[in-house]
Amino acid sequence: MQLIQEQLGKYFVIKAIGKLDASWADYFAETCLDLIRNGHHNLIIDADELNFLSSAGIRSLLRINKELHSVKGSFLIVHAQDFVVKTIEMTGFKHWISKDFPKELLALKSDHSFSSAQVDEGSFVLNPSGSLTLSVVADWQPWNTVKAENISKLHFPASVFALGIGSAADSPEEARSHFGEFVAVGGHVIFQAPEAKSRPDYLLAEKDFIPQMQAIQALYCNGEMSHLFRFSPDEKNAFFGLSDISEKALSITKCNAAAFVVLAEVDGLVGANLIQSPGLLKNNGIIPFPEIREWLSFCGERVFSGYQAMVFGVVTRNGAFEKMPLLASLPSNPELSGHFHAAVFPYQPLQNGKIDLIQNVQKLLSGPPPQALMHLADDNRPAIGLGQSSLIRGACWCAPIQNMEGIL
Amino acid sequence: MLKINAISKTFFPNTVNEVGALNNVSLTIKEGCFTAIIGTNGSGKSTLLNAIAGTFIPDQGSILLNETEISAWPEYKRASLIGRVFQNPFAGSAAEMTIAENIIMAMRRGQSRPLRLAVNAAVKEEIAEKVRMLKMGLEDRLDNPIGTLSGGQRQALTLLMATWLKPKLLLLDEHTAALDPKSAAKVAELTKHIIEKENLTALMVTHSMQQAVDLPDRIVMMHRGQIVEDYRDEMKKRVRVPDLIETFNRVQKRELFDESVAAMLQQQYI
Amino acid sequence: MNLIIGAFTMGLILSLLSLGMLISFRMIKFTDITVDGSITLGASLSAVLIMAGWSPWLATLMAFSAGAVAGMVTGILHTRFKIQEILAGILVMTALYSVNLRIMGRSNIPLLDTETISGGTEKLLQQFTGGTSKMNVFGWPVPLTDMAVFITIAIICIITGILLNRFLKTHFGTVLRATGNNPQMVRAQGVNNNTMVVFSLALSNGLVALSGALLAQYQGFADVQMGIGMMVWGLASIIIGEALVGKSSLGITITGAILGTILFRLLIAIALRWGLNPNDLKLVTAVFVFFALVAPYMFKSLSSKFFGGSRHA
Ligand SMILES: Nc1ncnc2c1ncn2[C@@H]1O[C@H](COP(=O)(O)OP(=O)(O)O)[C@@H](O)[C@H]1O
Ligand SMILES: [Mg+2]
Repeated sequence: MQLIQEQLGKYFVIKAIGKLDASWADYFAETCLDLIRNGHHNLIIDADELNFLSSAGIRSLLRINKELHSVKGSFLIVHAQDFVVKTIEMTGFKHWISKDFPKELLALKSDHSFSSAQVDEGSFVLNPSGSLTLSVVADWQPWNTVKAENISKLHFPASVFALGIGSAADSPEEARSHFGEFVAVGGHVIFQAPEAKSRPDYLLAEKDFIPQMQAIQALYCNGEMSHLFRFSPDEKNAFFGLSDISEKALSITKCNAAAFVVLAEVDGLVGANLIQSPGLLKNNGIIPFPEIREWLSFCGERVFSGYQAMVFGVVTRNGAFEKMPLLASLPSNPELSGHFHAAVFPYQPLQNGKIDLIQNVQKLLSGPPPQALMHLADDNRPAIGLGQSSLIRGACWCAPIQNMEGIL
Repeated sequence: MLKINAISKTFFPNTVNEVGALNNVSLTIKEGCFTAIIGTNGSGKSTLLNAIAGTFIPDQGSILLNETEISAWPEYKRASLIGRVFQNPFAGSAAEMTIAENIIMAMRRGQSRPLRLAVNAAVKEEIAEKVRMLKMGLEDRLDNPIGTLSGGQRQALTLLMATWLKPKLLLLDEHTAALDPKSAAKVAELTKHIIEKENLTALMVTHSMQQAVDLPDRIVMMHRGQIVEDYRDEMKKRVRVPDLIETFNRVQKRELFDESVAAMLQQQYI
Repeated sequence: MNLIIGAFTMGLILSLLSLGMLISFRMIKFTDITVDGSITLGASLSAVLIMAGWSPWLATLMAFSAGAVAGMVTGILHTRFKIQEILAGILVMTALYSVNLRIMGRSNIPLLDTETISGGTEKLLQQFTGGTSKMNVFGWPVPLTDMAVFITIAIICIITGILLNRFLKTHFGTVLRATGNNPQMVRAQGVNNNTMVVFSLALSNGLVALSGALLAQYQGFADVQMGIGMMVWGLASIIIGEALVGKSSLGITITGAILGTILFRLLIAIALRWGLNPNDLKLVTAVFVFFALVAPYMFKSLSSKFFGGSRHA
C-alpha cells in the first residue's frame, strides 16, 4: 500500500492507494498516529484508489478515530468506492464518509499559495489578573538530619501548584522513612516514596477529598494561572530547553518571578531523585561521594524521550526575591534561577489551541500510571554534561508570582 | 541450609588485570528454596556458584552447607552434597562413554567406587525407567556414546544425573543458555519438574528474566560482585519482568553517578 | 619358524608395554614419557634380583611395583606440583637413568643360565615331549625353551588383558576412563581426578616395567639404554591395533593393542630380514608414527581440497 501525504490548510490529506488489510493495517495506523502526534488533528483519507478494506483495516481506522477524538480533531474519508462505503456503513461509522473534500478545502485546492501555517502556535491570555502567592517550606537543609519541627503539613486544594520533598503518610513520625520528591498541580499530588523503588504514586483530589502531605521542603503556589502558550518545533527550534520555556514564561507574564506548568512531549529529561528518605539521615552536613549514591539516583543519560511530561517549576530572574531558598541558578541561562519537578507519563496527545490545564491534567492522570518523578537538573559538567531537560511540543500555563507569604 | 558469609574473591590480585569478582557476598538459603541469580555479564554469578562448588577457595569468608563448614573442602569432596549442571552442555558428561556408563557414575556421586562390574542388566533397567521420563527416546540408546546426542538431550541427562542422588544443593549455571529455544524450554520445564518433585534446594543462574520470574521462589540480583537486590516471599510473587529491568536500570544508573555528578548535584539538587 | 615364534614372543612381551600405554595415552589422555625409563627399571631390577637368587616370579612382581612407584612420582609431579605432563615424564625418566645405573651398578647385566619365569613351563613341556630339546610345531623343529617362553608369556598376556578389561568396566574403572574424557565431570561426581591420574600412571608404568622384566629375561640381559624409543614403539603398536580392529568396545581396544604390537614386531622382523639397518629402526618407527598421527588430518584436507577444487572447476 502507498500513502501520499499533503497538508492543505488546517487539514492533512492522506491518499491511500492499494489494499488496507491485516498486513498493512499497522503501518497505516502508525503513520496516521505519528501525524496526530505532530499536531495534525484534522485528517482526511482520500480513498479514491483504496481497493480493499479488511476488518483489520477497519480496526486501524478505529484507532485513528479514537486518538483524534481525544484531541477533538476531525476524521473524514472521501472518494470511497462503493464497497468501502458499505463496509464502513455496516460497522456503524457512516459519519466518517463524505463524497468530497469540505468546501473550504476545495477552495484551497485551487489556490495553492496558502502556506501551511502553524495552527497550534500561539499564546492566550486566560485571566489578565491571574497570579500566584508563593509560600516556601525550607526548614530542612540538605543533607541535615530531619527534626520534628522541620516537617510541615501541607494541603492541596484545587488552586495549589507545588513541588517539594514530602510524604503522604498521616503522621510526621510515619512520614520520616518515606520522604521523596513530589509535584502537585490543581490539587492532584504525584509523589514517589524512595523506599518503594518502583513507580510513583498519586493522590487525586476528588469531591471533598483534599490531599495532604508531610513536607520538609516545598515551593507552594496558590492562585490562578494567567497565560497559556503553545510551542512546537519549527525551522528554528527542534525542541525547547527548560530555560527557554522559563524565559518565555517570565516575559509573557511580565514579571521577574513566575511559576508554570508544562504538559509536553519529552525530548530528553535530565535529573535526579531520592532513593532513600532524608528522614533516615543520621548526621548533618554534605554527604560525600560515594555515600551520596545511597541517597540520590542520577539519570545518567537523557531519558524519557517521546514520553509525556508534566513539569511544575518556579523561576526568577536574578535579583527578584533576594536570598530566596530552593532556587538554583540555571547554567544554560545564568540570568535565571529555578526549581523544577517533572512527572513522566506514557505519551498522550494534546488538543491544539487554547486548552484547559485542569482538564488535561485529569486526563493524563486517568490514563496509564506515571513512570517516574524527577528533580530536573541543568547538567553543565564540561564535556560530559547532559545539558538541560528539553521538550518537543506542548502547552505551558504560567502566572506571575505577586506575593511572597514569607517562609512557612 | 546454605549459609554464605561475606565471601570475597579477587582474580589476579595486585596486577593491572585485577578483578574483584566477588565482593563481600553474604547469602542464606533455606531448605527447599529454589533461588534464581540474575545479573549483568561479569557480575560474578558464575564465580559465586564456583565458590560454592569449590572450583576455587575464596580469599575470605565462609560457606556453610547443612551446618558444615565446607569452604576448605576440595571440589570433589563437596560433590557428595552438591549436584551441578554447567552452561556448556558438554561439560557435564563424558562424551566417549555410553549414556549408561555416564549415569552409573552419577548414581554413586560422592560414594565409594567398588571393584564390581558397573553395568549390568538390572541397573540398565533401572536407568531406562528413569530416562524414559525425559520422553526423548533415549532409553533405547543407553549403549550409545553420550557424545552422539544433541546439546539439549545431553543437558537433560546431565540434569537427571545431578539429581539422581538427591543433592543437598543443586547448582545450575545458565544451563539453558547454550541450547536452541525449544530444547531450552524443555530443559527449563524439566528443571522445574524435578526441583518441585524432589523438593530440592537449588541455585540457578539465568540470563532470562522471564525464567527468573516463572520458575523459582526467590530472585537474587548481582552487580559488580555484589548482591544488589533480593526478591523473596511476597516481593517475589509480585515481581514481574519490567520490575527487574527497572532494577537493572537503577543499578546501572548508580554506575554512571560519579564524583563529577556529585559535584554538579551539590549545586543543582537543593 | 624360529623367527616367527621369536617375533610373536617379543610382540607379546611388548604388548604389556602397549597395554600400559593404552591406560595413560588413551584412557586418561596423558602423554607419559616415563615409559622409556620405567621399562628399563623393570628390566634392571628384575635382572639384579634374579642374579641375587630371587625367584624370577618374585623379581618380576618387584619390577611391577617399582614401575608403579615411578608412575606415581610422575603423577604427583603433575597433579600436586602442577608440572606439565611431558616435563613431569621427562624429569622422572631422566632421574630413572641414574637410578637404573645405581641398581645395576654398571650399564649392562647379562642373565646367563639363570632361572626364568618360563622354567616351570619348560619342565612341563619336557614331560609331554619326553625329554627332547626340540619339539615339532607345524612340522618345524622349535627349541623347547623358546616354546616354553612363548607359552608362558602368552598366558601372562591373556590373563593381563582379561583382568584389565574387567577392571576398566568396574565402577572404579568407569570413573578412570571418564577422567581422560572430562575431568570436570569426574570432580562433579565426587571423585578426585588427580588421584585417578596418579593411580592410572602407577598402573600403566607397572605394566610397562612388567614388560621390561620379561624382556630382560627373554633377551638374557638388561641394559641401561634399552628403554630409548620404547614409548614411540608402544604408540606405533597402539595405532596399528586401532587401525586393525577399531575401538568400538573396550575388549576390542585391548585386543587391538595386543594384536597391533605383535603385527608391529612381525613387520620389524621382516624389515630387518630384508636388510633394514637395525640402526635405522628407530628413525623408521618415528616416521611411521608421524604419518599415523598426521594421516587423518592430511586425508581430510586432501579430500576437501579435492572436492573444493572440483566445485570451483
Ligand atoms: N577463572 C577466572 N580467572 C580470572 N578472572 C575470572 C575468572 N572467572 C571469572 N573471572 C572474572 O570475574 C568476573 C566475574 O565473572 P563471572 O562470575 O563469570 O560473571 P557472570 O557469570 O556473572 O557473567 C569477570 O570479570 C570475569 O572476567
Ligand atoms: Mg556466568
